[in-house]
Formats: sequence, structure tokens, C-alpha cells
Amino acid sequence: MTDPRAALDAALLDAHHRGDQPALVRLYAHAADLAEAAGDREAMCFYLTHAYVFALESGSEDADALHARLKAEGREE
Amino acid sequence: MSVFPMDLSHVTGGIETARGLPNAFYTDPTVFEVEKSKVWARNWVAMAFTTDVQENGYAKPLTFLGQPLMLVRDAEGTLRVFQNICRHRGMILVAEEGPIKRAIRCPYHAWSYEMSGALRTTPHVGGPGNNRHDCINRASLGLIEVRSHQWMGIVFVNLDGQAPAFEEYAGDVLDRYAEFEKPLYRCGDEGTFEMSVQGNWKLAIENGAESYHLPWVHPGLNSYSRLEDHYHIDTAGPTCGQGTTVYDPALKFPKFDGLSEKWAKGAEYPMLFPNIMMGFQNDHTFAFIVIPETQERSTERVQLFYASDEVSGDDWREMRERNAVQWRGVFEEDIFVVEGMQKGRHASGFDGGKFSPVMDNPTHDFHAWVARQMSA
Repeated sequence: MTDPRAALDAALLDAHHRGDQPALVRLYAHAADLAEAAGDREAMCFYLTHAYVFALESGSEDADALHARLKAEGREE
Repeated sequence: MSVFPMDLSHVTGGIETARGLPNAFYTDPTVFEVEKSKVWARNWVAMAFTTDVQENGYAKPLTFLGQPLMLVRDAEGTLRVFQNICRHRGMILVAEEGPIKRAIRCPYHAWSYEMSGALRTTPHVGGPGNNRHDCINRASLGLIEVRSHQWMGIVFVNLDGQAPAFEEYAGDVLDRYAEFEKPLYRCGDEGTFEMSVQGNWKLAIENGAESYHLPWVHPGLNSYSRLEDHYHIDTAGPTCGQGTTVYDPALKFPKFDGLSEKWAKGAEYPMLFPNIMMGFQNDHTFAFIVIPETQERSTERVQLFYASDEVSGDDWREMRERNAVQWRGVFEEDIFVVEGMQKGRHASGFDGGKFSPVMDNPTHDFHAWVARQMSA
């Protein structure tokens, strides 16, 4: 059985290689959700940051929501 | 060893006794470096065409006088010039031209900037997952904007930010050609072209400024625009140039509305120092920008502008192409003299040259202006 975390890491690496920004937004946001579910706030904010940056760069409509989550954690202006 | 201060009084004196700029102004990399600060940074200089970035949400990097800059047209269509560097580590932000969706992300540590230049986020700057820190004042860390001004389809920049307002700097030219302050139309890719010249930037401007060479270098003009049909443009500002009283082109394009009688047969070709020649004619204008690459090599960029968008149509394609070929031919005819004079500037016996007090006034005006800038 495939380790979900390893599969996510592989998907992220693949998205980076392909420069697939929508996938990077989605996958990093998913990683943040997994970290939040695991109670790992630091990891959540790390992944949210990456999702937010790629959302900004790609013009994703998710950018504002990702920004709001980071700001609520005191990690963004 | 510094070559400055240099006595240039023999250049700024009256044309009857003046000499041209010394060889070093064309061949010496030290002089070229001094020019960057004394001539190019202090004044308004032509850098690009507004149509170099035609789409909203688009960035185009360029190197100008060795500096990495970029043109950015934001989502609303506002065109700005920035230094193409991240405020964090000085990394080049935009390597290739292309669309910008919402933010420009530095490829190094991902500091990201809005198209207005505002610093939008600083990932992990306060530690992993923390994008803020009390020492990071985003409001003071936006992209470094270069002072710019757009006129007649040209992007001018003032690199040191200290020049008078463009309207003051170029006031003589703006007043003289106010009648041409109308919509201009690029109309086709064939009207934008560039040439690489093995010559110092000043030689291209000097050559464009005077009509003395026309019958020898452009013999095709003799049949309809003789030397005696030309006159010097003489103003107090950073300009010089030439005009003709018999403009009557074989190619007939729609004319600008509302021009005064002067332009029925008149056309003028002013230089706006330091680096642009413009053409004002009743049916189209052009801009000829000279961009220095080294002290001995320059790029000439040309764009034609028509009076009516109608000329964009396929019906006008052949005429547009013939017009572009014709202008390109004229500018290419000038290349051998620019390159020949450049080679000549390596002759140790050349003393800057002796001017004709009647025919070389525009060249002398330009030399004297450069000399004053370099002496200031």
C-alpha cells in the first residue's frame, strides 16, 4: 500500500518539475490540511505559505483565503 | 587614472573655432562610464517603446546601460519601469518576458511583489511558516521604481530621479510639436525594427542631426529633397536637428487632422538629447532610439507611428511594408558613416574635427551639450 505522505511528496515534486502552479497550490494546501489534522501548526503554516505564494504567482482565486488563514495564525500581514 | 576633469572649452566655444569631442569620448571605456552618470543618469533618456509591452499583466526585462530593468504593465494598463531585482538578495526577478498573473515571485527565496511594485509577501522571513518579522517593513521594501515618462509612444527614464520634470526638460520639443499630440498607431510589426552598429552612440545622433550629409549618403533624396530645402532646428533646450520644406512622399498615408499649414510640405527631424531622433511628418512620425551597448557599439531601435488606425488594415499592408523598407534603407545607408567615423576615432592625429560654421551647427550643438554635461 502506498504511503499517502510519500505519494503527496512525489506529487509535489512532480508539480514542481512541471511548473504546474495550480497543482502546487492544491497540493500544498492539502499538505497544510493534513498537518492541521495532525495538530502540527508549524508544518501547517509552512505549507500554507507555499500554497499562498504559488496562488499569488498564478493568480489563483485561493490566494485571499490562504492569506486569511496565515493572517489568523499571526504569520502574515 | 581619471580623465576628468577634462578641459572641453574648445568644444563648447563658438562653432567658428570649436573642435569636436576628443577621440576618448568615442573609444575610452572610462569616458563611457563617466557618461553613464553625467549624461545618462541625470537626464531624461529614451529607453523603450510603450508597445514593447502591449498586454496588461505583462513584464519584459531589459538591460539598459548595464542595469537590469524591467517594463511592467499592470492589470489596469499602467506601465512602470522597475529595477529588475529582489530587495532581499538582489536576485534577478524576471528572466524572460511574459504574463504576470498577480505577483512577481523571486525565484530564490520567493519574496513576491505586486505589479505596482509593492512587496506582497516575504515567505519564512520570520522563520519557517512565519512570513513576517518586526524588522521587515514591507512598505519600504517594494521594487525600486525608475522614474519614467511616456510621450509619443516612447518610454523615457530619468535614472537618478533628479532631473526636472519631463515637461520642463523637453519643453522646447513638446511646444514645437504640440500639434502632433494625438493618438499614434503602430499599425504593424514591420514598422518596428532594430539595427546593431559598431559605433559610439553619439555618432548616430550626430549623423541624424545634420542635413549636410544627405546628398552624399542618401543620393535618392536629391531628386525631391535637395540640400537647400533643409534647415537647422535651433532651440535653447537639449535639442537640435534638421527640417525640410518639401515633404511630399510617394507613399500616401492618411494625414493627421488639424495640422497647421507649416506641415503641408514641412517635416522635421529633431534630436532630443541625449539619444533619440524623431521624425514629424504630416502622415506619420517615427522614433529612432540609440542605446549604447559599449563605448564602441550601439543598438538603434526604430518605430513608425501612423496617423490613423485605418493603416493597420490589410489594405495598407503593402504600403506599410514599403514605407518600413524605405526608412530602414535610409537608416542602413547611415551605418557605414557611423562605423567609419568610429574607426576614425582611433587615429591619434584626429583632433575632434573642424566644423563647417554653416552646415555643422546641429553637430556642434550636440557636442557642446555633451561637453557641458561632462564638465558639470
